[in-house]
Amino acid sequence: MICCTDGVLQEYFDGELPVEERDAVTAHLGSCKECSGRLASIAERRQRVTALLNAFEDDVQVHPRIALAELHARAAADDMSPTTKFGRIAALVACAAVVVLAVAAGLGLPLLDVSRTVFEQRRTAAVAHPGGSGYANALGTPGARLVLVEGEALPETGLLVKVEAPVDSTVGEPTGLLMGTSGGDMLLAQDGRVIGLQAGFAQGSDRRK
Amino acid sequence: MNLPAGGGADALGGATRAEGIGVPDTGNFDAIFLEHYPRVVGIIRRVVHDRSRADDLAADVFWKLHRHLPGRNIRNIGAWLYRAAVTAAFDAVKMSTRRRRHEIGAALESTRTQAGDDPLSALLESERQAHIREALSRMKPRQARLLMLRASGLSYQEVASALKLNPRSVGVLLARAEDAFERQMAAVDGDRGTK
Repeated sequence: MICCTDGVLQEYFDGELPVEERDAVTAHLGSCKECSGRLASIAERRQRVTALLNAFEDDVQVHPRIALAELHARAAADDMSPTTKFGRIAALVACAAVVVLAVAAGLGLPLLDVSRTVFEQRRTAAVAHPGGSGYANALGTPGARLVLVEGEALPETGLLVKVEAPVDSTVGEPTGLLMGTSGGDMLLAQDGRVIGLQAGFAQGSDRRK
Repeated sequence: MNLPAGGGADALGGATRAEGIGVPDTGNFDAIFLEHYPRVVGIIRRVVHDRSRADDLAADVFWKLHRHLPGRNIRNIGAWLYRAAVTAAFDAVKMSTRRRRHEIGAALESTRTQAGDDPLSALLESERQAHIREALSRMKPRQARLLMLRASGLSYQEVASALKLNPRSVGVLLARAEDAFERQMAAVDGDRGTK
C-alpha cells in the first residue's frame, strides 16, 4: 500500500473509514514509520485543539422541555402580534374603535362613563368615612385610604376625593386596574401589587374623555 | 399556539431519516425540538462562551425553523438546524458591538460559575475565551464551522450534510481546519502579547 494522505489518516484517527480501508491502513501503519509519525502528530494536534475548544464546556444541564415551553409561549405571543393574521385583524379592529371614539368626541356625543358606578360607590363610602378608609379598602387594597380634599368640589358630584395607598401593598379586586379616578389620582397596580399613584386626571375626570 | 405538528413534519421526518440524521417517528415539531435542542445549544455555547446568550440564539434557530417549516421543503432537519446554529453563533460573535457585551457577559459568567471568588482566574479565563473566539473569527468561515461542528460531536456524515460537503472530503478539510486554528491561535496570542 502506498502512504496515506492526510485526509485518510484523519479519517482513520476519527474512526470514520470504512472497515476494509481501515484494516488496510492499520496494516500499512505497522510497516511505515512515516505514516505512523504523521498519525501521532494528528493525535497530538487533536489533543491540543480539543483542549482549547472544550476548555470552557460547562456541565450545566440543558433543559429542552423548558426551552420548548418558552418557545410555545413565544409562538402564542406572536399570534397576537401585528405581523400575524389574527394580530392584524385585532389591530384593525382597535384602529377602527379609536377612529369611532375620536369622531364621537369631536361631535360632542356622550361617551361611555366607565368610572361612574365606581365613583358613586366611592363617594358614598367617602361620605360615610370622611378622612379615610373608605372604598379603596372595600375594593381590597389594605392600607389604602380615601382622602376627602377639603374645600374643593367636582362640578358634577360636588366632592373631591383622593386615593392614597402604600406602594407595594397588596391589591385585591380588581387586580391591575385603576382603583381611583375621582380626585384626579389613579392607583396603579401590577401583578397584584400597588406600584404607584399617577396624577393627571383633572377635576371632573370621573367622566373619562 | 401555531407551532406546527403532524402532517407537514412527517414528510420532513421521512426525508431526514433517509439522509441519516433522523427525526423521531412522530415527526412533529416538539419531537424535533426535543431531539435536536441539546446539540444545537451545545454548538452555540461552544462558540459564544455565554450560556444565556447561547440559549437565546438556540431559541432563535428553532423559531426560524418554526416560521419556515410551513410550505418549505427542508430535506434534512438536523443538517438545517446545525448549519443554522453554527452560523448564528459565528454571526453573533462577529457583530463587533455585541462582541464586547459577550465578553463582559462571559467574564461575569465565568466569575459566577467557574472561577468562584477568584477574580484573577475569571479574568484570565475570559481573556482566553476571547482569544479563541478571535482565532475562530479569523479563520475561513467554512473551516471554523467545520471545526466547531466536529468538536460538538457531529459525525463526518452529519458535518458533511450540515455544510453541504462530500463526506469523503471532511477528513482532509478537518485536518486543515485544525492546522488553521492553531496558526490563528498563535497569531492572536502574538498580537495580544505585543499590544
